[in-house]
Amino acid sequence: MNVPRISRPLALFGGLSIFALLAVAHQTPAPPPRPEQANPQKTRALPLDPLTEQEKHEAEQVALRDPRVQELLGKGRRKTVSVDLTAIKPSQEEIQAAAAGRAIPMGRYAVVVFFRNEDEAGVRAVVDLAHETVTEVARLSSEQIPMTADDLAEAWQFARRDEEVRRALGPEAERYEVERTPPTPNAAPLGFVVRALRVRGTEEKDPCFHHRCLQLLFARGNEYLTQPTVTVDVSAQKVYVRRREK
Amino acid sequence: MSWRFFIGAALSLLALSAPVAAQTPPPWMPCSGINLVDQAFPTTGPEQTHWRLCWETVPQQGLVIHWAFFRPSPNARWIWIFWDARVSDIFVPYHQGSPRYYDMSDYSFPLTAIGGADCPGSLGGTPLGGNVCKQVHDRGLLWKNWSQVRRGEEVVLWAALGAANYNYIIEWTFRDDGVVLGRVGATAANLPGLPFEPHIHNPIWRLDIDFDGFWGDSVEVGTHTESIPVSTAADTEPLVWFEGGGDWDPHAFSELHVYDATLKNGRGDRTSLHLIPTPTGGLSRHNEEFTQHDFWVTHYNGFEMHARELPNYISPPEPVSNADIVVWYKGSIHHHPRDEDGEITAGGWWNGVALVMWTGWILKPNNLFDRTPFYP
Repeated sequence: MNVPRISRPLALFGGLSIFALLAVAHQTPAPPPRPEQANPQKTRALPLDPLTEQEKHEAEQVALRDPRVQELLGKGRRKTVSVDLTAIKPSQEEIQAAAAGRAIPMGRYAVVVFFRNEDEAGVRAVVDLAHETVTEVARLSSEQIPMTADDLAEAWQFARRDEEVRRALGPEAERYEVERTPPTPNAAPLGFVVRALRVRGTEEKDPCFHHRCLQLLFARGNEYLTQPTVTVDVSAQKVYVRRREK
Repeated sequence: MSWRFFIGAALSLLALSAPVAAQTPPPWMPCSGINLVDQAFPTTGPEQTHWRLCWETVPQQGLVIHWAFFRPSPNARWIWIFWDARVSDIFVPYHQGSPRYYDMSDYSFPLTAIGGADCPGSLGGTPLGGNVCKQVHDRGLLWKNWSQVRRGEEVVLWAALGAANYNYIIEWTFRDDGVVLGRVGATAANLPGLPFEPHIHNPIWRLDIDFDGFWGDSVEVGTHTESIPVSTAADTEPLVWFEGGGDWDPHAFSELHVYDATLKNGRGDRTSLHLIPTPTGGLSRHNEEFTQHDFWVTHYNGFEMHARELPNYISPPEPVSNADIVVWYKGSIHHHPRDEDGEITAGGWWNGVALVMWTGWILKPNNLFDRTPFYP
């Protein structure tokens, strides 16, 4: 077979060049650098990594220091409903850079929702975690604010004092408790649990029309009590117990 | 060692490394650890397609998808599909008129715990973070052509919202052929006070599709028409110019086509994503205005997250052609209780669970590939 001859030094040079190229081709791409942050000490996580408990606490504190939030919340009783991660869309150029594999300076933000008991209104604040500033504040109506396990605990405190509820639950009434965290896999169900669904009135004559009401569900192990239906108007601190005809 | 052997080995290595060298770099992702899903297909052998996405669990919203990219071939560029995809709400009206529950927006329900029994490793499952399951598995036939056949694969993320007596399975599936499926399944105990009262579970998805980026997206309504009594038919795609709602007609094969102003495949054909309802039985209408359409198209607003506010979001209607758009779809699960759901035992206790009932949609690429994917 007539193979064209190549001088030895040229072959060596060629071989080394190919190996150099191969080395480049085989290199695992270095992980892209993390985006620049104003305060890297406080925001080591990537922008859409879940918020840590520390970050949630900080977001809440930053929001509470904001004069706009303070003004909307007033000085009465209030509570924090939620602290969740949110994302703000970067520019078109940044999006294209990210798609091409380059890190972009995307911020890390939290949305904090507060509830003020005085008039059952709420406040939503968007917190820039890196800069520890509030970028947006809005007032929320009562209907825009979800009810929580805290509301359920309050509702259960009212309901457990109601004679008819106690009668329905029988001697086990004192054993019921509000479920704060879901049971772990394969765990035996909690013995006596109170769960809840929010109910809304559809007509003005309904006591739950524009009020914050919870329908309580009573579970014993995996079973639920079917009667009576217990509804707590948390706004008016009233308990309604109703039995259905068969 | 002879120099000929040296060059031969180098050339061989170069040939082997060629596909690796040609791969486009992965997109930068704003999440890490278990919240980043990076899945190439097929799961064995040379890569052909690839998904890269972030997920997050959000109280009140369940399992949310952020930033989903798909690459149709190793040397193609990554195509942005979602900025954010979530179930906005699950509206549950009972037939007698009340109660009418909003099972996501009205109460901060937690996700249930997930373990090995929910998410067995033997079926490709990996529990993530205690309440999410990731499954990578065979999904049946991708195609068959006489003696030729190819089976497909998919990566599925799911979690279960513990909405008091009900559990809702929120499931996101990303297939090897670029198809995305969204499903919600209703299960667990019937409403204790009304265990035999029929009702409907209406999950409403909010899909912030940023196709190849958030700019320049438009939506058309795919519509099929049979010219009866003539035996011809026609497919049209009228453009959605302004924010508003639309209806699914099974005879018209109604679907939404989302396309980008400039994105085309290698054959020069316009690429689009087709949102196709996959109802189980039907799609409901209720007294509430937001339930009176199956599809909605809105202009992007990061604070417009709640389905029941849709009539307010579109008033006044903004233009949605060549814009940053969000697509909403309402599915329905008609639950007519049956003895299989459970029974009332001594003392008036409800015992039993409703087996999972599903509804959902598929998002199917159109002209994203240049040829049949996974075809020799």
